[in-house]
Amino acid sequence: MISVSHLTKEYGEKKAVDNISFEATKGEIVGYLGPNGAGKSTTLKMLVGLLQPTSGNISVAGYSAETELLELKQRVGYVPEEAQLYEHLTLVEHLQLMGRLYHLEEELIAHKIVQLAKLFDMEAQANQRISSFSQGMRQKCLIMAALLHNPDVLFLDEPFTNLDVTTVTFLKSLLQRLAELGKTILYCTHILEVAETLCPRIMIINEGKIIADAPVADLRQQTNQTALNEIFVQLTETTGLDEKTDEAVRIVMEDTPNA
Amino acid sequence: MLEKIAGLLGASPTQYTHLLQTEKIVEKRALKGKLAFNLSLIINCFFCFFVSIVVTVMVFLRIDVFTYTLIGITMSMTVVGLWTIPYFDILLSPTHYPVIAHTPVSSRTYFLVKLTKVITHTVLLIICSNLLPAIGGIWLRGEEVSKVKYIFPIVYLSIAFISSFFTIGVMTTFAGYLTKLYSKKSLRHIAQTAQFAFPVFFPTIWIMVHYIFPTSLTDSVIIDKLKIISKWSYILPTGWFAGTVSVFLGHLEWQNLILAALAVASTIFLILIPLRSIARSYSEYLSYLLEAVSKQKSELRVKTPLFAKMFRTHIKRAALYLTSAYLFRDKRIQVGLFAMLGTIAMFVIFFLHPELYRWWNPKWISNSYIFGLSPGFSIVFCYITIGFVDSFILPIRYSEHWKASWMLNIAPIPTKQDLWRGAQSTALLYIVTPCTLLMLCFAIILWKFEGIFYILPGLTIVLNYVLFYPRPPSGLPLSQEFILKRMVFSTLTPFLGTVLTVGTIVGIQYLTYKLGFWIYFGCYCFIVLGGLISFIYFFTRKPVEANLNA
Repeated sequence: MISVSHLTKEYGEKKAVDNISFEATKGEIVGYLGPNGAGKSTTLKMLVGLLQPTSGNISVAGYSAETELLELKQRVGYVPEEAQLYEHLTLVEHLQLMGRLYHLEEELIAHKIVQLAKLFDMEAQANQRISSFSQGMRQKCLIMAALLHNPDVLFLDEPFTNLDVTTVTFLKSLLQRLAELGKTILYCTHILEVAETLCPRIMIINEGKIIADAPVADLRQQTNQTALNEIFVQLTETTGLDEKTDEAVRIVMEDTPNA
Repeated sequence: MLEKIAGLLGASPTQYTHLLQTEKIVEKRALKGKLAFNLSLIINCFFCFFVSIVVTVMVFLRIDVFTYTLIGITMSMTVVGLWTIPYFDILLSPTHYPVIAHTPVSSRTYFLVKLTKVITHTVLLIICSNLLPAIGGIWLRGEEVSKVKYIFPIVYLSIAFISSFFTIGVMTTFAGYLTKLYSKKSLRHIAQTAQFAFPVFFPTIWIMVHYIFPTSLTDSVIIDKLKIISKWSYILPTGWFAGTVSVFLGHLEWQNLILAALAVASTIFLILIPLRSIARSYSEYLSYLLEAVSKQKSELRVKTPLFAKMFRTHIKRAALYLTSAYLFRDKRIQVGLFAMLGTIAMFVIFFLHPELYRWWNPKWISNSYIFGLSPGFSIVFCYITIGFVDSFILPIRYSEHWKASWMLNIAPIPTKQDLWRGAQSTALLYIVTPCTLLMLCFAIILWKFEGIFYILPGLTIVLNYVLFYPRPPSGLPLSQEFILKRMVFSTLTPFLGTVLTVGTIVGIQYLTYKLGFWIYFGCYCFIVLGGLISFIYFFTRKPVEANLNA
């Protein structure tokens, strides 16, 4: 379903994504983890066609990003990291816009909007402008829009940010059910607990390179660690955390007049 | 020096300095290339300079200091009032407020930073509006300036500066107090559109000056009229500041003393009471603006909108509804449309007022040489419609929500042109159509059924203006970062281009009319049919782009 080979993205001298290759099959949920600035969001942006790769090949749902970008886009749902939305639109208008952009018929759009708004507890806000929404509501708005056109592949960049526990639980269950029905999901996150429970397979990217790609159980075995956060720290070679903390405490206290 | 003033006004000098510097850096970096900004500033200054020439010409009328100063200060306050409206938005926009809202920056400090920014933006315009009239005043022939005429420029310039700051202060107060009078829901809209009320107040005086504007510079009756009319201005701040200039020049008549006292008292009152009160509650005011202001509807309704069936492609339809929602909701578009409605209101006033009609002589609009040839009518039609189109289309290019255009980039859109066509369709449906129908009504009143021939040349220009208006580099509506000064510049190029086109077409029509009926008729058909065919061909033409590559 997703096939990436030798994908590279350069910004001048800096390689944000450095020659990565991976595949994800139908019905698979892949957790895509990495520290800040590791290249997670850049990878996702290239996969959905927002960024042009410097080199490498991308194929999603059987369509090449180079030659069949439109077909690829039609089959992809994307939740970006930041909830940038057209603030003057209402939720209904936003979903109508997205439905039209994905070539859905008006009747189908209307039907899906009503159903999705009910499921996401957004009925009361459906005709309110997005400018009045809380961050959580905006996030729901993005998720609904990503699901509206029944995509084969979902690219989710921190999708649970700002969401309440109930919604997160509902969404985790929804994503698992969608995966069972054959949707492929690439899930990008910092929240390791969610990745651990939701994603049977984990990919870790650091400084633009994939440094681990295996099921969670295999990673535990490889690193001799049980918790995913410890695995993550070990793989990303994050050392000297205690010293760093001591130094930070010292600086903070030094600047406090009462210290 | 600014820090000291800020300190005297109760702000924190250090915070004031750093915030002001940050604001400058942010703006400078946002502008990227300076060329656009400089050009727009030069054009604005040129306009102000032109206005100041008109004022300075009054020197030759043998009018007294008070009347001359009154006209100059009225013009200056009007120009400052109107031309600072875009910059005035700095005060009303809470864009950067969340960044500092939680820090211990006092409301007063932040208000002073914003006010300083508005003043620095307008100071060059004030100089351009007043420098020439100040120098010109040396040659005033009234008796009271003969002894102290060389002091005139200093006195005039100082008072003109104070009067301009007074204008900005009143506008700030006006918008500020609306926050207390109206509910949060409607506040933002009202506060931002109501800014026009104050500057429009001065054009009423300006109209009066137009009303008595001389047809001959040596006509003494007109000078007398000017003097009589100037008495009316005693009730307005323009008169108070003019009186102050007279007092400083030694013209110590009791009327002038009262006017000067009014000017001083009103300025002190403005600073001490309303501006101080607004400065104190400025943070609260910005918090209001950040809150939800739209009318909240709680029920879930999904309507199939008007015109939905008209557009067969989903993409054009999507863009139409996206941009039409912005047409009715975006404050920048609303403010622009509001200003254009003000222009139309001015035209109506000119037409309806019998005296103004006589003096202004708007017959040039209805003058017709032959069927379909009324240069004035074509110019007014194009000016009004293009003004409305510009008010809409520019904020559709440069938007505060430009970051949301990612969703247009990830969608499977075969050609970006369809999205821009949707935006153009909004302009055609909601702006060009009503304007054309309105002007058609006027044309029918003036020329009966022949009126349609007078509409067509202007219509072809307007249609092609919408069609060939420069697309954003990305080809997507609402996709360019909103930078006020860049917007001001961007509007000029297409507008000036169209002014030239309208002039050329009307000129060609007039020339062919002089050459003979059939030549005129052929030319008319060529312009109208050529324009319409060009519009239909290019509007419906399949795009060159075969595939959208992100």
